[in-house]
Amino acid sequence: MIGNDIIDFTLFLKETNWKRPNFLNKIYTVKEQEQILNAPDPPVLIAIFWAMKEATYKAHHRKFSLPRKYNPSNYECSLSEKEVNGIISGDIKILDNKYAAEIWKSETFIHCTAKASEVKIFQKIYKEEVDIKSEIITHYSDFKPLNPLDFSIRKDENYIPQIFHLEEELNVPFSISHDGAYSAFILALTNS
Amino acid sequence: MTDKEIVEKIKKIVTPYTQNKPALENFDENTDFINDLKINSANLVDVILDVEDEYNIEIDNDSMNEMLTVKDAKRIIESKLAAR
Repeated sequence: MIGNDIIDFTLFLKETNWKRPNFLNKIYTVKEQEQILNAPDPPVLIAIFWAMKEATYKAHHRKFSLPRKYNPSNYECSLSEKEVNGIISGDIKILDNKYAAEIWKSETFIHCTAKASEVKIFQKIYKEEVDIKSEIITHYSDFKPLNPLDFSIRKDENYIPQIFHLEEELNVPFSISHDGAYSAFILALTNS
Repeated sequence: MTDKEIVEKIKKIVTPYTQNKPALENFDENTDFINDLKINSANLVDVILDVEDEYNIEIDNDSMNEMLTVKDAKRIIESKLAAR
């Protein structure tokens, strides 16, 4: 199962008052807080960990069809030391589950994907206003290929977006994220 | 403190973080912070910290897990005030 998260980093720097008392300990584990406070540039790590938690939340809740919950500090992030081709890797633990993360960090955005197991994905990041649902449908129907007009995206009872073909829910692993000027989606490339 | 006063106070707290301002016109107990008001999940922490400051209470992690609607916030505030 997969999840993603995009952060408009310019907006994040402007709107996040991370020095506010108790802000960090509501969201981050003790270990994460130590790393943040010792980092040369704390906001970068704050945003990276946040994106990892959000992306993993989406993958985890989709995997187990879980109702909503606001529990960011239950997601424990760790990062590998090295950055390979501009991609930072890491992993996230939530209860007994482990997810692998890949983080793409630019000057202006941070995008994270989280995966429960190895799967090939298609990903797209937009820096303009876009109808992300129709973008996903266009790409998904192209892969099949089927008529895009027969597809729709709606949220299920747990507020998790699902792709429907005609009226049938497809259980396609995908994830959507918006923040500020940015939108992104990921779609698993499977035969199902 | 009456229910109505708490709901009004919550409305005042969430207003600066609300991205979908028109939804504030129909603000009531059933208003959902994320789905209706489009508060982003990072700002939800600010809402929780503002509630703590306003009422001088501590919202523990278990309570924070459930802070999704105005009704949830009201219930948590009332129970923390009662436990003081």
